[in-house]
Amino acid sequence: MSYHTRSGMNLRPSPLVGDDTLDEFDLRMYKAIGETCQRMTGYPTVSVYEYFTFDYNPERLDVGSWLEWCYDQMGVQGFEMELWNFPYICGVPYRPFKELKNLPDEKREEEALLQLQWNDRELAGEGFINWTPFEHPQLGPVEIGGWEPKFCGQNPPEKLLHQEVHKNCLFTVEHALSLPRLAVGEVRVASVGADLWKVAVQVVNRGYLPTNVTKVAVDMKMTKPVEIRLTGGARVVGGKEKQELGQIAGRGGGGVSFWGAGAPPETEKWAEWVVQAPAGAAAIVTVTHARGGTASREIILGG
Amino acid sequence: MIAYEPGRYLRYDEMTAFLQACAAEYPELCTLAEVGRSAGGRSVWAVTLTNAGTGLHDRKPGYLVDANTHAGEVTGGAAALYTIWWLLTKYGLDSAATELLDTRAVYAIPRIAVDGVEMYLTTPHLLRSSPRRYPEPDEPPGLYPADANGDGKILTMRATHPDGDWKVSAADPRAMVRRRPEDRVGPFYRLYTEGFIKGWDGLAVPPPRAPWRLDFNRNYPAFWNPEAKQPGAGPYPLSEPETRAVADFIVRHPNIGAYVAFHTTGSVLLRPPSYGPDDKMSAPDLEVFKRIGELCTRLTGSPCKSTFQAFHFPGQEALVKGADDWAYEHYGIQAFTFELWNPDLRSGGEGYAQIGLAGLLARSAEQEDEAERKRLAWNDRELGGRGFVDWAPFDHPQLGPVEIGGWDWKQSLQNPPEGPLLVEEVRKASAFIVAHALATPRLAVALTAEPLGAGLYKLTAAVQNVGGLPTNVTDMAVSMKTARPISVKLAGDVAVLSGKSAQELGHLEGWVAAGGRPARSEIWVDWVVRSTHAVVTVSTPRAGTASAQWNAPSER
Repeated sequence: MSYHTRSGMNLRPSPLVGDDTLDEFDLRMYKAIGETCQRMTGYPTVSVYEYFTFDYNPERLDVGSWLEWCYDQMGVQGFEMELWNFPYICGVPYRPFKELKNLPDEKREEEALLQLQWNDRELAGEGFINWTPFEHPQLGPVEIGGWEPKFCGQNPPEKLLHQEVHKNCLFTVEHALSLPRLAVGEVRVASVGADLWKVAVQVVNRGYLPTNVTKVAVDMKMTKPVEIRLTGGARVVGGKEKQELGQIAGRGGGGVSFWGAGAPPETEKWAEWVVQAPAGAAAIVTVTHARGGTASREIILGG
Repeated sequence: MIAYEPGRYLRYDEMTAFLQACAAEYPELCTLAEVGRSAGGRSVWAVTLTNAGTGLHDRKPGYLVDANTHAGEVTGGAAALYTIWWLLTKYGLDSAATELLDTRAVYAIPRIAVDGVEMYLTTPHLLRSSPRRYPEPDEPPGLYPADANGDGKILTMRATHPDGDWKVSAADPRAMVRRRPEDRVGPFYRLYTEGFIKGWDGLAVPPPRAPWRLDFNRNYPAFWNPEAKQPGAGPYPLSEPETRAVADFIVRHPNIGAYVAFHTTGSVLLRPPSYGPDDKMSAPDLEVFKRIGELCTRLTGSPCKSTFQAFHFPGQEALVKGADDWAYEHYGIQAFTFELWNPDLRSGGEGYAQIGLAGLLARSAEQEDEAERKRLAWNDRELGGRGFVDWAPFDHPQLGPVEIGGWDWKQSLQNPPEGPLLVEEVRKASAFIVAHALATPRLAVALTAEPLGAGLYKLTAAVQNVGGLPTNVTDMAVSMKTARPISVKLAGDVAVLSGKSAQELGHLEGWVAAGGRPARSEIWVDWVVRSTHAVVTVSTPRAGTASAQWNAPSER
């Protein structure tokens, strides 16, 4: 999450292309987290390209932004939250930027008045400095005044700052909680001979997002598979000591089958070994993934 | 009288008996033929409806209606049978039925997926087209649909799970809603198709898998793609005897100019293009498709949308593949898919015809919850609750304690229940078929003579398209060279002094003309002849054959 002002909009990819060109899964995850944002902050989550571009010109793309690097190259689920929307608070509706330039002058004036009235009502006029005469050494007689530039249009006035940062903090907490989180789930140990044990370990992603977070991360090779190791006081005789389990879906990765019944997300994978150790020996399983974290569990064989 | 109940879904044997009774009872109006044989050995039937007394079917403009390329969409099959019954029993009583059978040939293939429909109607299973195993010939590990609790239905199993992606709606305990990213207080559920796991290792629950994933409507040659790109495609275009029967039938009947394939659901008439926005197709064709779409909306209330408008959503490849796409793109037939029945509309909600599949997929969890509650309220109100089975505990031998319940999909969301709702649906559908078939092009000709003296006459043939669609039906047919120009032949006791006795005239517009100007639907041809008797015959396959004759007044 990268905080900016201003617009009262949470920006998502892509700055360069329409939603038709985005990966279907990544778009679905962006929209799901975007809905959470809408519920918690009241701010819509919009594509930069679809909503935030003034005048699209393929020759002069808005390149070099943080969002492109973050998503298109690193495969990180990045948002740019444009905090604070002064006109919206005053009753001016949301509009895609490309519609702004076609706004009739009458409408502009009407919306400017809405903002002045709100300023008079809610800020006791502090957001707007009245025009006052000034003898300019170079320009001659002028008047100086207008909107207070820093703490009205660009940032909330201090009396409204708390509510603005609080609701956005809560959303960021939820966004962070949607990250993948690996855990060791069920462990099954079965005796298959003298000092021989079959060990099966369930690896679970308890997060909403998959361990790779985005499909782009896989395409750009920015994420490695989930890895599980069995170490400790047991000799591995069947299966590799270190195994790769690929990526593991989060609970947001389910689908709906054709008939409306579920296609549940595959948030669990299993690893199996046959190990040799006396009863009571301890083995340790450790599961790791750069984006899904590390978890481990001690297993007492025959215990 | 033919025994027939319009409010029922007929089993295969009942349908065959009905069709045979129609052919026996109305031999002048109806013939029945086997046009193919399914993978399971059942006959695929085609019915030809026309008054043999006014001409052979292949000399009349042809119209095709088919149904049940998808096995579970049985409303369509019922609508096709109703149309057959209505035309036969109303001939001579209703002016539209009489005109249609006197002047046109209506062909009906009322059930394409003959094996699949039988499985759908006589077992708890749901399937797309054919009960032959596809794409895997064996049974790889997976959760396969089965009637686990023996209640005669395959419904949904729900099981609590800490990482479940569903929860119970706060507003209606029957409704399941998606768990939102921020929902952390359970219980949460996973939903599975009712069934059993085959090849289970006792560890992870494998993904759901149906053994019969062939889709006849992905097996046609237009824009065909293999299975990896287009699930259900089949090994190659027209690989299935059922789809080949339909394609062969169309190719063997070059008089077919317009075609409707019945499906469910959506209450929407789907037109081209499938592969992009409207500016990708011929403007005159688009205009004519839209005008027929308006006719459908007036008669049935169903809007007309392009397949692209209805089904395209971001990231999805265009769905171009079906029988109707093939008929239009390769043969220039004015082909529609008519999606019957829409429980979302009946419940006061919206379907993909209103907001597009893209709009449905973009709904928030709250909006989905609201739509599901509307459907449940509609089920209580209009279906007496029969469409939804309450969740009941079941001890699953593999998954442990689960609950089984949910939508009883076949006669609620996928099709209307048997009875008055089905009758209402097939009546509306059939009314559009009759009107659309009556809009097909039809040639007429009149012959007049002006005496020039000395046994010479100037003969003038006025050739007219008295139908609605142009004689070529579509621009696409001209591009694809499937619309032969109107031919004019002058015969009899005729010596032609000026003009050609055989000529080609191009095409004539019909009253569904482009752009609101008067249609260019008439053309005149003249000859100078020495003659006592002349016959003029005009013909083009999709507008039929017409002739007129003239006899010289006897000399005094």
